[in-house]
Amino acid sequence: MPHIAPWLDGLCAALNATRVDAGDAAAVHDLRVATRRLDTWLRLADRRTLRDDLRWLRHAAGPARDLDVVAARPWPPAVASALAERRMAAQRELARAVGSPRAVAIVAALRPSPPLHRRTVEAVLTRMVARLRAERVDPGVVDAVHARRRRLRRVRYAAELIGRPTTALVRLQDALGALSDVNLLQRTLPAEVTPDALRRALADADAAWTRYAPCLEDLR
Amino acid sequence: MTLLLFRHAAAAPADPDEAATAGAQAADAARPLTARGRRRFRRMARRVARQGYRIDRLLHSPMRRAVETAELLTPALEGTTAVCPELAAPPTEAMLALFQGDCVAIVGHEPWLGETVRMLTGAGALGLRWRKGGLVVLDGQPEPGGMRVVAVVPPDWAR
Repeated sequence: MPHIAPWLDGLCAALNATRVDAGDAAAVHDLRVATRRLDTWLRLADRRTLRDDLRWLRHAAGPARDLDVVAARPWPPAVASALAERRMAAQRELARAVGSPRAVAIVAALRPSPPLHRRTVEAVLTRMVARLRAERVDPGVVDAVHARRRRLRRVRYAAELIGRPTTALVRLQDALGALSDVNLLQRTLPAEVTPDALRRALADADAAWTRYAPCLEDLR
Repeated sequence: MTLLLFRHAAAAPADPDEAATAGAQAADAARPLTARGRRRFRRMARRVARQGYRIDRLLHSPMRRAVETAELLTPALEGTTAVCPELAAPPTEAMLALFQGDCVAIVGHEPWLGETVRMLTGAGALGLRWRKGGLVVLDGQPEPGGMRVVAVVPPDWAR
């Protein structure tokens, strides 16, 4: 039966790493991934409580993560310096959240969660895949493609829980993630993104969907 | 604002094996609701919703029995939930700042819930044996002496 412990240990490790250094980009990324995995876990358990708390933690790490993604590109010194300044402000906010009693309480409240039933996960996964396959998404609308990516991510986490193959899902998620990065860059530094770059990213995301979506059937 | 204060529903005793391995405190924090406590509180939650309460903030302690009780209240929830470690400790005035909204529900433990009511109403002891799954409804401003008791509801009200 899938237990929460491995994913919760992932959250604890990420919390500890960000408490030591909120400037650690990998730890901030891990923190966001851990909160998303646990959110999927709670959805599979049909639980409502603690999901808002995980969202709060994830949003606390959001600005720092966004700036890490943008700053990973080569920038002129003036832009890089402005990004670093914004990152410092974001990591102060993050340090407050991860160091708060609420962050400790989230882990304490999740720890005694009973394991999921494998059959429950299988049934929910089948429904999630069916919905993902059936929904119509306008491949030219960034928000719609992004919403698909979020649903895909939940499918992947549910599949991981019961040991289903996820290689194709990870590739598809990466391809859709490239679009998110361009979109993020456009929101952070609008002058740096041409309309053509966004169009290309949308086309690549659509091509990846066409290529990998049939692999979803393997999960049912 | 309306403040609904629930004591967690009836819970099983701590698992002695867990107490031996993880310690008494961890074992106490991990106590689940009993089937009867769950059944009875589910009826309470349904009646709370039928009375027209729409909870826009649901706060609960991190103890498993409080989390599970709060989960049963979510059909009446129209806002957000938050785990609140302050509810697993004696109340402070700072904690009252968390009670923001038109209708806030909290799920906690005795004797701290009773102390919270005394702080908010400015009254002496309620003379109330607050049974598990029971509810006290307050109305007013969430500040010391700013609220009054509207109702004291036993857990079997919803029978």
